[in-house]
Amino acid sequence: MPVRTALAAAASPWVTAQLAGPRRPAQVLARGRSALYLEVGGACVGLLARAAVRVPIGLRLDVGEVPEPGAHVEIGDGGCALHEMDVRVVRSVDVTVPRLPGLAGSALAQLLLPGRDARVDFAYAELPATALAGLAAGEPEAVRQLLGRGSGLTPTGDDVLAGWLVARQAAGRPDAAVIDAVGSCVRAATSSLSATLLRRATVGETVPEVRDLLRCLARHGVPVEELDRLLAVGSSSGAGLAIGVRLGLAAGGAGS
Amino acid sequence: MSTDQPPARTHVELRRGAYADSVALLQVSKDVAATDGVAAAQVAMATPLNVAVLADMGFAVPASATPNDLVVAVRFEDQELATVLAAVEAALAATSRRDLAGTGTLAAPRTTGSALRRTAANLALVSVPGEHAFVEAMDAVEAGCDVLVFSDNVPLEQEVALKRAAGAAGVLVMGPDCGTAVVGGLGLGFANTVQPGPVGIVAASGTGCQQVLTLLDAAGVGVSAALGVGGRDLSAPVGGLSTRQALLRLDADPATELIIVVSKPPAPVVAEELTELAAGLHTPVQLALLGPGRPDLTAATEQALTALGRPVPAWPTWGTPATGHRPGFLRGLFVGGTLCDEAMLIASESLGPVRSNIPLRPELALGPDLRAAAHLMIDFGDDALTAGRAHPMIDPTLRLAALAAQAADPSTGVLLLDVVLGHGAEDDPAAALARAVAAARRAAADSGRDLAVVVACIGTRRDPQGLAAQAGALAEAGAVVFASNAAAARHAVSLLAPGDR
Amino acid sequence: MAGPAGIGLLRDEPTVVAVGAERLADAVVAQAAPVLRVDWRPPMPGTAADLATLAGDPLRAAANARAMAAVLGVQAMLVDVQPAAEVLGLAAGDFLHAGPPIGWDRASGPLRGALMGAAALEGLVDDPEEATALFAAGTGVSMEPCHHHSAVGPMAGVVSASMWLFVLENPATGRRAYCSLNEGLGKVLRYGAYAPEVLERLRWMSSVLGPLLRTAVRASGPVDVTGILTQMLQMGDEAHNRNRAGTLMLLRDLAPAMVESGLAGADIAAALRFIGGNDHFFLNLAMPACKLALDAARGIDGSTMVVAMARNGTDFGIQVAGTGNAWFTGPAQLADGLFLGGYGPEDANPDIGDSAITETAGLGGFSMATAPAIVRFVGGTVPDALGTTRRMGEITLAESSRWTIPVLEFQGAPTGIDVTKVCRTGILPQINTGMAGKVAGVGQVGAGLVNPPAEIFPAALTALASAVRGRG
Repeated sequence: MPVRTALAAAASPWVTAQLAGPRRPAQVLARGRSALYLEVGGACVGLLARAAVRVPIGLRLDVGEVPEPGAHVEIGDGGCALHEMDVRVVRSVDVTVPRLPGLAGSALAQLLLPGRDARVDFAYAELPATALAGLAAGEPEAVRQLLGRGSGLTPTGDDVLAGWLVARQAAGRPDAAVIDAVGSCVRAATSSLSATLLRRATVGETVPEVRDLLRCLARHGVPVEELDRLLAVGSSSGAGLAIGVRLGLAAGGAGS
Repeated sequence: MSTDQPPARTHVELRRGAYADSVALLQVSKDVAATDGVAAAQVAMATPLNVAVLADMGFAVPASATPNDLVVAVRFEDQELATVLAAVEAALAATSRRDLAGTGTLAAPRTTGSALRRTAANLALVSVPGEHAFVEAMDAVEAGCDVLVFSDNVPLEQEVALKRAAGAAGVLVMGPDCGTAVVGGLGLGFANTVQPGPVGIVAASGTGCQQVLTLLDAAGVGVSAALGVGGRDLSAPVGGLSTRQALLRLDADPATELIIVVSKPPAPVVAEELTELAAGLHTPVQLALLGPGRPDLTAATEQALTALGRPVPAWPTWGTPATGHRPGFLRGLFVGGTLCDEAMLIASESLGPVRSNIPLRPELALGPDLRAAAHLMIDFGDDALTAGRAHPMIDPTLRLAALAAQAADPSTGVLLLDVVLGHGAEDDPAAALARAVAAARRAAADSGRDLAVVVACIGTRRDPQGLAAQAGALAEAGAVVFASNAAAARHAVSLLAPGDR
Repeated sequence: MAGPAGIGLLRDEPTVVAVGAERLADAVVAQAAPVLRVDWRPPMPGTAADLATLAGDPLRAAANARAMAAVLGVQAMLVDVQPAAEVLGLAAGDFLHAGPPIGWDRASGPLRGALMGAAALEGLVDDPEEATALFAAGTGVSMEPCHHHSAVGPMAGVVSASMWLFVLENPATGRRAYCSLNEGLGKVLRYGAYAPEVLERLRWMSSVLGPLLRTAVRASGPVDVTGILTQMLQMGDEAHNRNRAGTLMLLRDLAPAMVESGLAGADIAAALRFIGGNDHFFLNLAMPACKLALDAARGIDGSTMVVAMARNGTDFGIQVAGTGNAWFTGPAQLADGLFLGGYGPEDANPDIGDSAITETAGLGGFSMATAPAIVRFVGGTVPDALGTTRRMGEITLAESSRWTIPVLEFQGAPTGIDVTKVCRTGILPQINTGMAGKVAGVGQVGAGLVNPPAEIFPAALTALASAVRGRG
């Protein structure tokens, strides 16, 4: 009989809430050396090793590689049961964006001008300019044009949208029409993982690199190092998020 | 054994193109020389120097030898040449052994500075003996890394020097003697598991900080960080150096919407500076300074909730509140010093003087036997009672013994206790305490007394021990349990006969 | 790093370094946060108060940074080769020696042997044996450490007037350092041998080799010794007990000019053969290069960096940047290693020579990882070599920016021994060394590894702490 070992995790209150309730089977959505994504009841949570992108839907583990999931994975009882391994959330972490004193994005816009970073230029090139302009103006139609578009585990269009949503939250100007559009389209238009991330973005939850960048903007700083770290996130996700934050903090949209 | 052989034989051979490093060959020679029956061995490249050495040792090296040849020269007795040559082969083969086990393993760093060169840490946790803590903590300050000094007995002048250097470097020093901190949801020392949220705490008191953390948790309000600054930080010599740094940190953090400062009343000059500093911050500051005529920690927390626009809940209680009035004294047995202080401040308002090992006024000090025919409260976490033993939050022995003694004392009317949960504390403090409470009440009942036991249980539902389970076990044993220490103290006072108040 | 207005550790997930009680580190691990544990042990006995004084010295960090920058900023160029009489002004009866100051009365066998040979070389006596009385009486002879004359000497390190010296210079400051020419292995003066062939070789070195090298160096221009050291470390030399690649690179640089010198072809051939046949020839350039670098850090008030480690066969001494010219000495230790021929531990003299200047600068034992073969002197392994260099990282101030070690992912050589770190960790500097016979005249008997006597570091620490309190 295999010996079960316990592994401690840190996670957001939302993730912890997903793990409450009775034990139930979960499905493995995606699996790599540093991240394992599970789906249960339409929502997605991730087990993250040290090297993984610290997505807000993750259980952060102090391990080099995520453990073997085995054939049957269950979540519930405040944790997650893998093959020979029980993961428990023992620590709550904050994954929400800080409050900004209004739309303080001009310092970021300067840093994201075309030709400064190949990753940013590539992300711009992947997406229709009209959709980006529409998003900057807070048009719900832009959501449909961006969802599921582009490369990466989370499509670049979704990253831009997520960045936009959290930036609006940070600025205290959430945009109901866009949030509604995300809510109604997200399920059909993109992957389950990306859909969960977008739903969390509507309430201001994001990766630490975006939080750092926004904190810097909140202090009226120029986020040079913060942007560097954000652009290093994933293959294209960081650039997508950065563009989204920039558009979200540009003047325009329903809230402005 | 043949007797016509000379007692020792020599063998010298040249091996062309058999180069090996001279250092490796020194080892080969040493290995071969250690073989049974070998009197002398030299395996070396035939350089002029080595040939001369061999000649000195009595070996005849062929004149044809060049520095590119390997010479094997051995003198042996009672041994076959083949055995000796096998030893040479084995030793030569060993020079290229591929035993790289451990090449990748790194020995642990030996100093804090060395560790900080290896990893991009953002917090150093120092708990070496007090006389060495300053040196390790200064490593962190020099590396620009925030530091928590758990160690006690750090000389005052070293605390001041550490905090001055830290201030110049923009580094935060928590401690010395910092028992409680929460950063990034991580509980350090004795700390509770709390949710992220809008309140930042700066605390010169560990258990005071834990009381505020747990009440906020009960109110559904999380914390951005709780930064301990050490019990002496707001004294005149230290001048609030760490408090200042911690306030600036929390003020710069957009996630922190309100800051609570938990401390005993600071030295007057420090209080003035603190008030001035707080007034200049963007973030509102709620002072929870425990002292005579000031709000208790629960009241200060309630004010903070109100300032945040959050409702003040009814603070949880467990068990059936006792009723009626008993003759006798209030006896408080605490593991938390600030909780003891707070209880004394509340009790003395209506009971008058309370004797203690950490008295509110010097004349109320208890003797070494910790007994008095009076209201008394003992802090088992005080230095004098922890010398050479673990803190009572980890080792309950002394308090359990005192509890039995006080319960047996017919002059004890009400027992007031605290239980502190969270990281660092006992795995299941209620287990032994509940048994002791039940036994005490039974024994009192047997002698015709109604001994009331009131407990302040400081914990959160996500603490490793679980607040509900711990409080429930104590209530089961007949105690009345409060999440608020102030409420527990007031309830305890109310159970005494008016004549004894 | 967070400035006063930053939020530092509030910004992100805590990453913890824990020193002290295991229970606190365990609690961090239990909360899914990374922690690096320090293997802390109490410091050397009696040093706690001095360590605290130095930890609180406001000058220390900046002084050590300045000392380190000074050391790493030195470029050692071989600019000339000249007789000691000319560059150091030595007269016939003046003798320099390795290590801290010592008189004839306490001098060890190999140092006496070398002095006796040098006295004969200078014509003070006909037979080296006669020099014993000369040195015992002390008339007409003087003994001083090489280190007091910007010089270093391997093993006995004896320098006399007629010996030729390498002259190294840091072009930025004009500061110079000096070292004799290496005689080769076996029966040689620096190991205390003074047989006729030893003196004959020295005379040839003064009459043929020295002048030839001077001509070559002057003709080909300065040789970048620091640069050769950089390359050597990539090629398996640690520049104390392995100087093979360095010697060949020097030969590569000087051979054309030697051939074009116009001197007799037979002399040139003999010189080339002599240098090429002596893997340690470059040691006598590595040493003054290290000396030149470390001298740049001397006299920096508040710096706890060791600027010299040297042994005279009786005493082991160190000098520290922040304590001027004071020597802190203790008994030289016996090396642990392998022996030549039929020699054994009973034949060996305690540790001797200025060559530990290489370790002081981050080479030799400190860069053991780049020359794993050296570990076999004590029957060690390749992991031992890597471990030694990493362990020396625990007691040094920085990693060299130009001397790097390929097998450790080009980590810099651990450079600048910090007296406070030695006292805190109890880790002693690891020195690679040759072993001289303890009887005068014997020569080399082996090679191995050795440490300084532990007590000299607390002694230096006390002096540093007194200086801080004096400033106070």
